[in-house]
Amino acid sequence: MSELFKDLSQAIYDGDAEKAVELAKSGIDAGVKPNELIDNGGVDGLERLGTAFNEMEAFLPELMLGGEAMKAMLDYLMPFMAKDDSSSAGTIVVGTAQGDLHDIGLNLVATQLAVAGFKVVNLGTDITVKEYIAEAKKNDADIIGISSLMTSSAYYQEELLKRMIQEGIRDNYKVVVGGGPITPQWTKDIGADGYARTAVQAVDLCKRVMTEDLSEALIIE
Amino acid sequence: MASVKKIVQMMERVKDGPACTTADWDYKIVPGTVREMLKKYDLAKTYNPETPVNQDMELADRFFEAGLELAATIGLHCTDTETQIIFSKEEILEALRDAPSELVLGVGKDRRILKSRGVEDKVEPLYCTSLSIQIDEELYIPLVQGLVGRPNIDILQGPSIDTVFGIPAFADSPFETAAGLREAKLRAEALWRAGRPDMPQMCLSSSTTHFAFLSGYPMIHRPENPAIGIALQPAELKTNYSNFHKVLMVAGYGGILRSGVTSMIGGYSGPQEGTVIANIASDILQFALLGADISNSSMYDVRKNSACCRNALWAMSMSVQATSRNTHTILDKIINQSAGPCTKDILYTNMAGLVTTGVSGMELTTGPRSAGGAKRNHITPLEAYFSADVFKASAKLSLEEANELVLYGLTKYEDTVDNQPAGKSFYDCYDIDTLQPSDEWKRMDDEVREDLRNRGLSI
Ligand code: B12
Repeated sequence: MSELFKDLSQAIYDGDAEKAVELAKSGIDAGVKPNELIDNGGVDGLERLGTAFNEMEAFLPELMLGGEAMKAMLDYLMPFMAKDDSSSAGTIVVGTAQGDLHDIGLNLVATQLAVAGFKVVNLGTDITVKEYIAEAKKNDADIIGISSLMTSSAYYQEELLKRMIQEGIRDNYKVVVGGGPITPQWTKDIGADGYARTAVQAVDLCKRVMTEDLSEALIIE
Repeated sequence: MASVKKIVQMMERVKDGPACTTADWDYKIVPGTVREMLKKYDLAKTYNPETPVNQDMELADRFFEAGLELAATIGLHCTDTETQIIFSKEEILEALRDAPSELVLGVGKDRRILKSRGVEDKVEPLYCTSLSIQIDEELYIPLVQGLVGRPNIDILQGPSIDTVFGIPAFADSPFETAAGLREAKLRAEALWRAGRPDMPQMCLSSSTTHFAFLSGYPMIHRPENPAIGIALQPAELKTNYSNFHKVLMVAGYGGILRSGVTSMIGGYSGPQEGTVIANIASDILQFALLGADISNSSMYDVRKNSACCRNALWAMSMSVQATSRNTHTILDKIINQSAGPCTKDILYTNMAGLVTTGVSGMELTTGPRSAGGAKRNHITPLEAYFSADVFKASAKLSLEEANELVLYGLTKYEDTVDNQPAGKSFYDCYDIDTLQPSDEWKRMDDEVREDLRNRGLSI
């Protein structure tokens, strides 16, 4: 079995979605649990990619392709997972706010969350408040994540929260925010559920807002 | 100079170009072709940490050839039409020949000549301040008055506002249009108070999308003092419709076009060597696509959040040398650093970046990026004055002397380059009424200047 995990890890590392799904399928056929395929194969591949990124051996395209391959594999495995053993940490829709085209940080956050087993729907840049809400509903999301690199687009973070209250759906989703000019104080002022300074911390943030009973915004700096 | 007719023709070529998804562009076409060029020109792993200021001119020329071939092989991708626009090598070379080698800016005592430079050029480069850093609306006039308070500041870009009469200026909305009008008025008032109403201007700072640009640019531009329009592409080797809106305005009004985009080390073009190739291609394609007057393709390491780490300095020196030696185009690369006002780090990081690019032949820079540009009100005139002096002084250095200085600068901040102190805001280290720095901040500036003078920099 360790051979299968190794191949799977490599397929994710290489960003080969087709091969990853094929290997996951052979795993399922042989009776391997979806969780094991994810943890020992997929996550391992993405973790190696992360290390390679930090050591200048891999770059953004490889990271993103690895994330895509992981997503394809998770999509395939989803129907085989019992509700309670769903190894998906949760579903998050992320994007950069309206008028904002900065996408490097967003892509790093999306990739890190995928590595950590979240189902990530990366909406890309210039996303309107309406689109965040529509996509969260469509994907049955747990969390909405908004990245803003400019204060003039960060205003839409507040607008999103206002709109959710108006529509009576504020409690249906956790809302996390981030990006260069976003501060802990802003996060609290607008009533978001959490803020993280880096993509790595975003994972911890999302895990905790999903599981902990928080009385105020969770700030990870 | 950009022409409306040529730009419209380019827009049609963009629209009707070969289809290509943005994902394919990002994950396959750019990284794949960059890798091919690295191999073909034998450039992989040529980064030399001992020479953050590159000393090998043959290597710089090889990088130029690779950048030119990358540009002529893949061209640019448009994110709105999901198409590619491809240029022949001849077409690119012609655009480079047609690009201006000299621009006359401003009027009267504030007239400046922006002239093409080469490696180790003795002509002083020009300094434009600041970057579009968010500040409180009521701070705009005193701060800008302070920023242009010395003649070594040649051009004003100025900070940006995100409120209009105290109301949030939502990006991509009529509020943003209003911000453009407001910024234009505030600029005029601040420059009048500073006694420099005719100095050259680069605009618009508060233009998140094209809206504020469309409203504010015509108010700043004057036929006798053409405004330099900031038209940034959405990402490396890409273009979009929003940018074409800005470019058309500049061309239509007869202004000066500065376009480009930051190349990301660790991003789609990979390691520093790959990013140098992509950056050179990005620079030269601004002239081919738009007939730009100035290319503004900066560089940045995404992992360090800086352009002042050793590998990024090396990459900037290589890219500037390559293009300076092989074209007469005018380049403006921003020194991305993340330390803030009232720290010595902001001074040493800027020194390293500006000496590196200045000696390598860069004509213009816009800065400083105090506190990474991401902290409200974290910008003061003092670091702008310091940076302008250093940049100009770089014209007196040889490549070797520059390298020594930069290696020295690195000893001051390299260990903490990815976690620099944000420093203090304008309110906390400046007197708003007298526009004088606090004693603490003044002392830091004096000490660093003294230190650098002792190391051979004439500031
Ligand atoms: C590269 C860059 C660009 C590129 C963008 C390329 C691209 N495709 O992304 C270009 C040249 C296009 C650009 C354009 C502009 N830019 Co710009 N840009 C930058 C720059 C230099 C780096 C941004 C970056 O990628 N950083 C690296 C990534 C990895 O960091 P990050 O995005 O912060 O993300 C990390 C964290 O914040 C966090 N995170 C991010 N998102 C999220 C989300 C969640 C939910 C969580 C939990 C965490 C999280 O995790 C990430 C990884 O650790 C910054 C300056 C800076 N130092 O940040 C300015 C900056 C963001 N830009 C700025 C401005 C003003 C502009 C323009 C308006 C300039 C102009 N006048 O035309 C235009 C606007 C374009 C638009 N409509 O969006 C300002 C914003 C000022 C402000 N405070 O509002 C900055 C701060 C520069 C400045 N002032 O000097 N820019």
